[in-house]
Amino acid sequence: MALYDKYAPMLRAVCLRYVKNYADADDLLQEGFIKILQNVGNYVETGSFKAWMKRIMVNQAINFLKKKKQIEFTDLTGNEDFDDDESYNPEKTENKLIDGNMGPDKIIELMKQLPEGYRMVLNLYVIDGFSHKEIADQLGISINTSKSQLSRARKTLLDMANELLTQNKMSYEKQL
Amino acid sequence: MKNNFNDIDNFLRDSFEDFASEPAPEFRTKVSASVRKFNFFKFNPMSFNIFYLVAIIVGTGTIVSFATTDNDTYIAKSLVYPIENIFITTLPRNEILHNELATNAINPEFEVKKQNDFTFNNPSSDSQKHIVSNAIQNNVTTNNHNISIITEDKTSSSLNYKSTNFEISAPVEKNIIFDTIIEEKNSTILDTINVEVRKTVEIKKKRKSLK
Repeated sequence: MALYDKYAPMLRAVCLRYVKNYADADDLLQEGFIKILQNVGNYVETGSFKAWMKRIMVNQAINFLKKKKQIEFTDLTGNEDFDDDESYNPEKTENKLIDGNMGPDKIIELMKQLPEGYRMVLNLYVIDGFSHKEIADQLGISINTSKSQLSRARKTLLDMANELLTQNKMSYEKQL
Repeated sequence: MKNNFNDIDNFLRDSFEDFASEPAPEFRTKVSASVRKFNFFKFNPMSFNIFYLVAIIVGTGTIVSFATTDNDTYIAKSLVYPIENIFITTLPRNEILHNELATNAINPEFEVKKQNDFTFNNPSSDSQKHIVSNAIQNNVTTNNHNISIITEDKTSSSLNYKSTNFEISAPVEKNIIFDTIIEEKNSTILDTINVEVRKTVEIKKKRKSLK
């Protein structure tokens, strides 16, 4: 339990990024922790122990959501290239996500509102450092699908952040 | 635009780098129970686990099994004396036996000629086979023996003797394990071909009660 006391908060934060609610996050944390204990003998001291545990937790999260059949992806129909999404120009939109200086708690609340596929790819690529190929292999999707999900996730997150911050500003002005 | 996306990505990474969320205290109890269950099914010489539990159950079962086993067993030996190759010879009509034998021929008593040899002179019993069986019952033997029975042949005018030699093979010992002897008896089984003498011990199984 010393291991739990030291790393549970960090691991729970990983779980909260992937699932929709706190109950699922706790279930995932419990399963992931047992998995870590089962595999602790296999840990080779080539990298950080924290990173190793995070990786196990992420894999457990993927399996958790697959078991619950909560991951859905919208497949592409053509040869879209989502490195440059011309349909969306973030330069024209105020980036309130960054300017609003949102904390991780608020960001997680926004991420919970994202569709599962968007949230999954956003977490795997942006925060956990998976490549599109690794994501495609893990989730059983194409690389293009992974890219499209990521692009749409960013866009949706930005829009939600902008809307939230605009609403907050309006309600603040009303109070004044 | 890529730069903006990069900014967003960097922002998200920075936001979550040191992010931690403390679980509820009651959740620790739940995880602790899961960890105990996990450790219970894993072998660890320093802590009690399922392997030790199985060993205790097996050990207890073995001890109880031995404690309730009735150790007073009796082995009954059934000694079967098969008589094979019965040779019946008839002495020549005019042959006179040795004086000593002739003298003893009229003696109705049984006489032991040599150790482990039995000679029955003019037996009063009605059948030779019966004599053989009586001899064996009265004298416990375990090796090969020769039994000669000399009978007076009264059909002729001279004194002739029939010598019947029996070769008795070593008994076949059969072991039968029982619990309590309730009765011992000797029984003789006679038939027209073989003579068998059996000494049997009849017993019944006795159960010991647990104390």
